[in-house]
This record gives sequence, C-alpha cells and structure tokens, in this order.
Amino acid sequence: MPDQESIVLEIDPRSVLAAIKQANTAVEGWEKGTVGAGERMQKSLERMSEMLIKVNDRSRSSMERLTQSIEKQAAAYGKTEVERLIADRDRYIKKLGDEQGMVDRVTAAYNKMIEAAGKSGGSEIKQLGAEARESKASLALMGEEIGVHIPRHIRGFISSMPGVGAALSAAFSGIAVVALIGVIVEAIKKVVEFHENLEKLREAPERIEAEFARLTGATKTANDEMRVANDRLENAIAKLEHRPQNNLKLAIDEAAVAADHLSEKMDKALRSFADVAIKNAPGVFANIIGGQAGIDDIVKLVQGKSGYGGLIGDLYKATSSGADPTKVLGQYRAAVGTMIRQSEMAEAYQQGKGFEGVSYEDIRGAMTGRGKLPPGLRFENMLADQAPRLETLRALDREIDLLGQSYGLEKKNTSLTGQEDRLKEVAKSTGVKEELRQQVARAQEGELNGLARINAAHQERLRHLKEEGQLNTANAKLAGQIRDAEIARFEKEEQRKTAAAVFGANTSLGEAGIRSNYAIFQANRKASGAAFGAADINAEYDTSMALAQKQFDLAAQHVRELRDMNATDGEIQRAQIEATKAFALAALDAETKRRVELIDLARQQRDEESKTARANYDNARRLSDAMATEQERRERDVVQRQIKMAEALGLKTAGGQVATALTVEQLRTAAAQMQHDQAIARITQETIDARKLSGGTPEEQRQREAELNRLKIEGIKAEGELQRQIDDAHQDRVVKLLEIQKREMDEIQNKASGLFHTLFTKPQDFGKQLGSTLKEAMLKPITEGLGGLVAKAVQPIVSGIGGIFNGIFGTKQDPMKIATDLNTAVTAQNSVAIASLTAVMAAVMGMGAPAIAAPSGVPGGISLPAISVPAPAGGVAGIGGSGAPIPIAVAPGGAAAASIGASPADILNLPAMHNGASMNPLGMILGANRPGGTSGIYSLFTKAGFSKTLSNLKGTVWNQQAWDASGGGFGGGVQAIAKSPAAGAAGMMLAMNGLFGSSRGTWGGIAQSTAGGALIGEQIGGPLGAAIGAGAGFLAGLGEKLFGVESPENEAKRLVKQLYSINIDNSMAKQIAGIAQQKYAGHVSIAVRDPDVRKMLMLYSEATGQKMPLSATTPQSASLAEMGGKLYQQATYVNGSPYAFQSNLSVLGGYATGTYPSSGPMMLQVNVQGQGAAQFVAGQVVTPEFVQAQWSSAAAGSNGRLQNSAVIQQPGLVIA
Amino acid sequence: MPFHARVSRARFVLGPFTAEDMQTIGGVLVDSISTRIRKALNVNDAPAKALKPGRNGRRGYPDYKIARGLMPIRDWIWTGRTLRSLKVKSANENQAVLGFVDPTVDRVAHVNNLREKQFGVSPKDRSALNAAVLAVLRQARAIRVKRAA
Repeated sequence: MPDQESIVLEIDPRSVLAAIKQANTAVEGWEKGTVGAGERMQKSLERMSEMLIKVNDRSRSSMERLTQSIEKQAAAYGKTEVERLIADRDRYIKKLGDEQGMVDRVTAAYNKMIEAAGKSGGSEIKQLGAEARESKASLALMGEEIGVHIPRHIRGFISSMPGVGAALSAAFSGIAVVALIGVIVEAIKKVVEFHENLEKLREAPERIEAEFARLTGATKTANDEMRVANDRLENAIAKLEHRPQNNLKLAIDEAAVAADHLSEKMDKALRSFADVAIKNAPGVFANIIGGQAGIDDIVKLVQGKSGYGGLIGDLYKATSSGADPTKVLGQYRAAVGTMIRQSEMAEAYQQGKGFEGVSYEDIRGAMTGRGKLPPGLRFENMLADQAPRLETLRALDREIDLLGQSYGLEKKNTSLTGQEDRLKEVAKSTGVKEELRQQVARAQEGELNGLARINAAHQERLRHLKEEGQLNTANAKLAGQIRDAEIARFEKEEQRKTAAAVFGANTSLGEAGIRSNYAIFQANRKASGAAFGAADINAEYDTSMALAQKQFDLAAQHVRELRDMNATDGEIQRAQIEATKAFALAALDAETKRRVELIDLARQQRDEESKTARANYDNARRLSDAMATEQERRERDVVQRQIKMAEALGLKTAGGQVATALTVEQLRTAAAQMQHDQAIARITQETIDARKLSGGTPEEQRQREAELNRLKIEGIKAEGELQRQIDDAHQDRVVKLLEIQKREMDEIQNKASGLFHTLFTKPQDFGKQLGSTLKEAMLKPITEGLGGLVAKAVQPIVSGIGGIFNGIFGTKQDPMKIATDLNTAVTAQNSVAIASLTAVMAAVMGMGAPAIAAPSGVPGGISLPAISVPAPAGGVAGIGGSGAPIPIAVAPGGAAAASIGASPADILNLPAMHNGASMNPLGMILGANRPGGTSGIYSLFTKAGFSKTLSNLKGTVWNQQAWDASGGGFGGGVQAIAKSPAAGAAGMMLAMNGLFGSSRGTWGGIAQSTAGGALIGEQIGGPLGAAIGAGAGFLAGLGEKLFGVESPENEAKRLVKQLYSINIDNSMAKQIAGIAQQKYAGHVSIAVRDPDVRKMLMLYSEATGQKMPLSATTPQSASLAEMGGKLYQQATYVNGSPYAFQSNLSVLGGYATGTYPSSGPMMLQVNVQGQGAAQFVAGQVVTPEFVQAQWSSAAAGSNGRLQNSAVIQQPGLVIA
Repeated sequence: MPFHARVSRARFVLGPFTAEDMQTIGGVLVDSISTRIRKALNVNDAPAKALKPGRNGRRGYPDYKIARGLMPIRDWIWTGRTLRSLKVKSANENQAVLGFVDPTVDRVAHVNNLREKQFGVSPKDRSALNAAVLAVLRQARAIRVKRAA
C-alpha cells in the first residue's frame, strides 16, 4: 500500500544546471577580480541551495488526487479546445508555483498551442505537421543523395512554403540536375532568411507587447491577490482589534521583512523581464535593414553586464540590507522615463512633430547645435524605429511601478499578518484568563457548590414530578426529606473532612516536632564532641518516645471525635489502626536511632582508644629509636677511639702490628656485639609495646601483625649485621697480617737482591755487606724487642713523672688524653641525662622504662636496668622495662655464639677490649676515671701510686730475684744490678754502640762491645754468661778493628784530618756522614771534598782556631791598581784575612798578606765573539778613553753612584 | 529494533549530494516538521485550530489530554508514537523520502492531516531546509573554486 503521507525531497536537475551556472558565473566574476565576488559566491550558493531541492509535498492521498482529476475533467467538459488549453495551462502554472522559468516555458508552449487552436482546428494542425515532416524528410534525403547539405531550418522553411512540400514529395525521384538544385537551394536560403526577418520585423512589436502583457499580468495578478489577502486581514483585524496600534520599530522591522520576502520575487520578475527583452531584442538584421533601435542599454539598465548589476543588483543590495527598495525603484523609474521620452521624441521627430513644446525645427536644429531639445534629452538615434524600444521601455516602466506596488502590499501584508498573530495571541490569552477566572470563582464558591447542587437536584426532582404529573404534597414532602437527608449527609461529611484536616495538621506538626527534636539532638551531639555519652542518647530516646506518645494521644482524640460524629466503624477502625501504626513506627524509629547511636558511640570510643594506643606506641617507638641511635653512635665513637688508641699504642714491629690487628678485630667484634645487643633489646621492648596495641578490628589486627612482622625483620637484620661486622673485622685482620708478611718478604728480597748485586759487581765488598745484613737481621728483632721492653718499663714512669710535673707547673697536657677524658666524662653525663629523661617520660606515659643504661645514684631514685644483658645461647633475648627476658626467634645460624661470654656491664664499665685481649690501653690511660683510682694518672697522687712508682724504679735498676739468689753481699748486689732491666738495656746499648755505632772499629768500640756483651751475658747466663758475653764482645770489636771496619764518622774524621789538616768533633763527623749518606750514596770520601763541606770545614777551622789551607782549585779574585804610574796588586780578603797572588807586583799599601796557592802561571783569557771579534781585528779595542767615557756616562746617568762615590772617596770600601 | 533509513544508490546522480547528505538534509526537515507539529502549528506556521471540546457535558479529547498531563492542543501527541514514527524513510543521491514508518501511524497522520494540514513543508521548514542544504554544500564543498584550464 502506498504511503498516504510523505514528503519527497528531490534534486531538480534543471536547478542543478542553473545553480552550477550561477556558481560558475560567480567564480568567473571572482577570477576577473570583481569586487564582492565572495559575497556573490555566497549569494549564489544560497540561491543554489534554495533552488536545488524541489519539494514535492505528496500530502494528499492518491485517491483524492484521482478524485480531483475527475473533477477537473468534468469541469473541462463542454469547453472549447482553447479554453481547455488555457485551463490546463493555468493549472500547470499553479502547480509549478514559484518556478518562474518553468512557468514561462509552459506559458510559451501553451501560447503556441492556443494560437494554433485559435487559427485552425486540431486536425489542420495535425495535417500541417505531417506534411512538414514528410517534406523535411524529402529534403534531407535529397541532400544526402546529391551531396549538398541543406540545413535543417532551411528544410523546414521550404517545407512550410505553400505547395512546395507537396511538389517536393511528388518530384523527389525526378531530380537529376545537381547544380540546379544547389542554385535553387542557395537562392531559397536567402529568400527564406529575408522572409523570416521581415516577418519578425512585422510581428515583433505585437509579440513583445503580448509577452510583456502576460509578464506584467502575472505580477499584477499576484499583487491583486495580495491586495485581497490584505483586505481580508484588515477585516479580521477590525474584528479583533479594539484599540489602534502604531509601533514605529515594528513597522520598520515589518518593512524589512517585506523587503526580504519581496526580494526573490523582484529578482525573478526582473530577470524574466530581461530574458524576454533579450529574446525579443532586434538583431543586427533589424538594426541594419529595419532601422530598429536596440535595447541593449535597457537590458544593461535592468541587469547590468553581468546579469547581477543594474536594477537587479541595486534592488538586491537594498533588500538584503533591509533598506527600502522604493527609493531604488524611483531612481530607475526616472531613468526609464527619460529613456521613454527620448524614444518618444525620436518617434515624433520621425513623424515631423515637435515634442514637449519644442518644435520640430528646433529639434532638427539641435543636430547641428543650433536648435534645442527638451530638458534631459539628447539628439541620438533619432531616425531608428522606436516601436520595439518604446514597448520594452513602457513595459519596464510598468514593471517597476508594479514592483513598487508589490513592495508596498507585501509590507502591508507582513504588518497585518503580524498584527493578526499578535491579536490572536491576545484573544487566546484573554480566553484562557477568562476561563481561569471562572475556575477561580467556582473554586471560591467551594462548599456552597455542594448545597447548590443538592438544591438543584431537588428542583429537578420537583420539575420531573411536575412533568410526570406526580407533584403532590406527599411527593413534595418526600423530595424535601431527600434534600434534607442529603444536606445532613453533606454537612456530616464536611465535619469529618474538617476533623480529618485538623488531625492531619496535628499529625504533621507532631512529626515535624520529632524531626526537629532529632535535628537538635544531632547538633548537640556534634557540638558536645567527646562529652557526648550514652546518657544523652537515652535522654533523646525518652524525648522521642514522649513525642510519639503525644502523637498517639492526638490520634486517640481523633478517634473519639469520629465516634462523636457517628462515623462508621470502618472509619473508626481505620483511624485506630492509623494511630497505632503511627505510634509503633515512631517508637520503632526512636529505638532504632537509640541503638544506632549507642553502637556509633561505642565504635567512636573504641576508635579513640585505638588511636590513643597507637599514638602512645608510636611515641615510645620514636623515643626508643632516637635513644638507641644516639647510644649506638656514642658507642661506635668509643670503639673507634679504642681502635685508634690501640693502633697508636701498638708496637711498630711486625709482631706488634700483628698484635694490634688482633686487638682491632677484637674491638670491632665487641662493638658489633654491643650494638647487636642494644638493637635486640630495643626490638624486644618495641615488640612488647606492639603486642599491647589494640586488635579490636581486623584493620587493627593487620596493623599490629604488620608491626610485629616489621620488628621480627629488624631482629633478623640485626643478627645479620652482627655477623657481617664480625666477618669484616676478621677479614680486615687477615688482610693486615698478609700485608705485614708481604712487607717482610719485600724487605728480605730487597736485602738479598742488594747482596747479590754486590756479589756480582763488587765482590770485594760482599763480605762486608753480608756481615752488615746479617747483623741487621739479627739485631732488628732484638733491638725492637728490647726497645719495647724498655718503653713498657719506662713509659709509666716517664708519663707519671711528666704528669706530676705537668700538674705542678701547669704545663700543657697531652691533647689526645685530655680530649679522651673530656669525651668520656661528657658521654657519661649524657647517658645519665638520657636515662633520667627516659625514666621520667616512661613514668608519665605509664609505661615500663625502656632498656637504657644509667649509672647508679641517679637523682630521684628511679632504678634503671642495664644497657645490655647476656644473651642466652641459641637465641636472642632482650630485657624489657621489667627486666623479664623475652625470647625472639631468629633465623637458624644466628650469631648466638658471638653473644656467649659477654658479661653484664653498665655504661661506665664498658669493656674496653675483648676479654681475650692481654692489654687494655684505655684502662692504662683512663683507669677508673676518677680521683682515688688505682691506676693511671690519678694513681701518681696517692700513696700507693707513689709507692708503686718507686717500686717500678727499683725494679728497673734492681733485680730482686738475683739478689735473693746470690744471697746478698757485694757480689749479690752486683748481680742484682747487673741482672736488672736497666743493666740489660745498658749492655745492649753499649754493645750496639761498640759494634755498630760510631765507635766501631776503634779501641773504644772494642771496650764498649766487651762491656755490653758482659752485661747481656749476665742477663742471660749470670757470671759465666757475662764472661762469655765479654769475650764475644771483645772478639767482635777486635775483628772489626782487624778487618778495618770503620764507621762513617771515623772515616770522615780521618779524611778531614788528612785533607785539611784539621780535627773535627763527632757532631761534625756525623754531619759529614749524613751528607755522604744523602748526597753521595754513603761515600764519605766524596762528601769531604764537597764545596759546601769544605766551606763548612773552613768555618769550623776558623771557629776552632785551626789553620785550614786554601785550596788551589778554588778560584780567587785579583785586583790591580795603578798608583803613581806603578801597577800594584791589591789584596783580597778571605774570611777577613788579606791574600794576594804570588807575583812580582807588590801589594798596594804594603800589607802582609797570605798567598793564594797557585798551581801555575797566571793566564789571561779574553773571550771575544761575533761583532766584538771584528772590532778587535779592526783595532777597535777597549781603550782607557772608552772606559772613561763609559764611566762618565754612567756617572751622569747616576748608575752606581753610591758605589762610585765610595770607591773614589775610600778605595776598597765595599758597599752592599 | 530501531528503524534505519534505507540508503540506496541511484543509477544516475543529478545532485551534488551523497545519499548520506540527503539523509542528513531530510533529517533536518523531519526535525523541523516534528518540532512544528509539537507546537501545534500547521503548514503555514500558523497555530492549528483548537481541538474539538466535549459536548453535552461529556468530556472531550482536550479533557482527556489534560487528564493525561498533556497539552490540550493539536500537537499530534497522545502516546507520542505518531511523531516518533516520523523519519527519513529512504535516501539516495537524488531524493530523500520523509514519512511515517508505521503504517498504522501513517493512517492516523493522514486523518489528522485531513482535519488540518500540519504534515507538510511550511515556510519555516523551507528555511530550515535551505539552511541545511547550504550547510551541506559548504561542508561538502560541492562547488569548488578553481581556475578553469
């Protein structure tokens, strides 16, 4: 089934072509650079969009269209063919609507048909058409056969000639002469063209008039219809309007709207006008042959050159800008009027008439400039046929006039339409208001309506009785009873409604009271904060219940009223149920709120407690961490100091360094163990505190477990750290030992390399160097060991005595010792302060004091636990505030063994070393760190200390055991002294000096080595040992003497004596030996010849009054002077003694001078080079005159003025 | 299942639009017409005549509409089905068909349109249509400005 209602949007191909043409025109104009091309492009697009889519509103059903078609056929019956054609044309025109182009084409087509129908019947037209077609075919065929092409229109013309068509049809087969036919055809062509043009000339004015009449008629018709519509609107307005309206702005807007609406209409009308004018314009033939005036200027006036200028363009601009197009139309109408006058003047001139009061002669004279013309006219085209032009101009004039009227009507139509709409709105709103007003009135009548309705029903009942003829007293009474009953029921119903309303209002008020009470309760709760408690919630519950009870009382009152009003049982029961339900709901609500509030309160309290516990735990943990960190840092510093001191106090020997490395490892291990113990204690305490955290909620439980897990992880890390520290310390010691061994190996290797080098380079020195090497190797451990023993024995004495004197004279003490003492003291004070503070804070927080050390005697009597406790084997333990050990599981392989053996100690009794260490440097220095101690510096100031010092002194020089063993006496005394450490040390020094010191190789050295050997032997083997030692020492010294072993110092003395004939002391000899060692690889023989050494010896000799001869190899200066024509030798001074060279020149002044040693005759060597050689060869040598001149020049330039003056005034004076 | 317009392809294309463009243009017109009918305006953009009230004290169609919470105007709305059925039924490069996709609704609309012609193209609808065509033209650049060879 086809759709009954649809709208089809179709693309109109003709519109597409037109639109594209317009667009191309616009683009072309744009390409030519025309101003406003873009605007026109826009307009073109707009027009294109307007004409592109054709709307075919198929809003009527096909059946209706069929019906209308039948009706139109019926209407056409009985009419002539022309009338039917006209009717069809009008119907199509109406259907086409605004499609002016198609309207024109349809009109033209129908005009032809109407014209043909008017001239002859339809049969004649058909016959004529048939003949024409046959003739055309004949001519075409002829042209093809004879090879001469006859244009199509010529064929049509020939065919249309009377009788020609029939003749050609008959004579078609007899044509044979081609040339003749060609001539005939050409002649016919010309004749036909002439005929056509003449025909057009003859028919043109009429056709133009008719077409323009139709064109203007369409416009006129549209205007008439508009005028009718306006009349109808005015009538409608006259009915609706009760007051005049004249709004200027509205009028302007409506004028603009009218212009907009009219724009398209004007454009199409003028464009159609231009098309018609162009179509009917006289051609070249008409201009030349017919002498007709052209209309190009008219077309140009209408649409310009481009088709969008002229009147069309100006009107479009005016309407587009909302301006009044009337002015434009007036301007163009004036121009057209002038053109009409021009043509009319020409026409009058051609007829020999005057125009507008100007005579023919004057007009004619104007051609030569002597006559005159009407104002505004020109003498041009005066002989052309003005008929077509005049018709065109008059049609244009009428068109412009109609356009002006159309604009006015459109404007008025728009205004009236707007007015009508507004008035309709007003009328509509007035009707609505009236309806509302009536509704208000009916609403205000209210209750009376019911009574009125009852009365009306009563009257209707009476009227009905009357109509039925039953209106009598009885029936009237019954009717009255009915009315009374209805009224009573109505009033009772009203009462119930009122009571229900009152009850409803009270109920609402009560509910509002309950809500208000609860809101106030909530506000109070927020304002009260922590002070809010269960009592407040219970009070609120009581209040809510009281309000509910009040509501219930109101409901009961309502039930009673219903009973009083004789309400039905159902209504009463419903009210009772409602009251009970309301109370039950209120009570349930109050109870629910109370319970919810209590639960919420409990939750809040629990949250607060949890937060408090958490905060306490966090505070304690932070405090514990801070203290542990400080304590660890302090103890680490202590250990570092201990390590430094151990390294400082350790012997520099290999054995001493090994011992020191072991001590350092032990110290580091002890420190790591200490830190481990403290960390474990802290973790234990924090674990205890973490277990106290609340675990009411799963979240809290998770947090607690996470905290405990964190502490376990810390414990594991502490164990790992301890093991790492121990391993690092051990590894460092091993590395140190390896380094020591490597160094020893390197020394041995160096020595051996030197020996072999000597063996291969200086075999004669091998024995000497081997002995020296073996001696060093043997003596080094002995000397170092003895030195260490001596230092160990003497250091306390020296330190104590030094301390005594330092104390007495206030001399500067050892800075390191002072710093250590101060640091220790301050650390102790800090520990006391921290312990006190911790105890106080723990007490305030209600917690057990954390594990931290404190010395005894803390003010306040707070007993604090020890800083560390022994860890049980197999696990790590900590001590809490109560001192109860809490075992913490550790990973297998923990450093439990490292903790075994640790002893409890407070902070002031920290183990300075590991238990296995044999020496306690810190204890040696610090002692008990307070006056009255039993060791250290304080011991020197006590009786026991002084006694101990004396005992030490005695032990140094006296061997009590030897004394006791010898049985006393002198021999025993000798034995006791000879076996004392001091005697041993003295023997060692004597032996060393005799054999290896500066006395070696001398008789003194033999004596020293003998004595030293005796003392050393006495230490080892008593008197026999002394004898052996003395013998060994003697033999060793003698051997050195025999083998010529000589010390560098003795060698220096010997050589100095030998070379310079002076004796030097040991210091000078050592100095020379040192110089030899530093500069000349130990060769003293070179060192004594060193110039510096020689100068030093010169000074030494002068200082000691010895005469040291001058050296001949030392250059000395000489000075010659001329006096009295005689040349003298001036003395020069060496160390203040005058010397002169051995010469026949006498010494100036006659001094007694020493003589410089001279190895040969004096030589004068002159070095001349370069330019100087050339001058010398040329005889340009330095002459006295040259010297004099130079000297004068230098004196004039103040060069060496002071020296010169001194030389002049006092010869020989040295000026520095 | 929602209705989809049948978008076909024309054998010969006359216009510069694609089928989708035509559907868009038709959609604009549908919206304009639907909006206008909802305002109870006829094809002349004038208010449609009032609904016929009830007679002899009986309720009429306006009363029923009021009771239903609707406006007592000729806006073709009772359940809204009629105007919901107004859609672009088909579109190709040359044409787009607007109508009611439901045959029953189509008959109802026909009857309504016999009472007063509301389903059609009013001047304002035409303006909206022109604007849509112009917009599509601009968007599609159907007319390209370029120099001829």
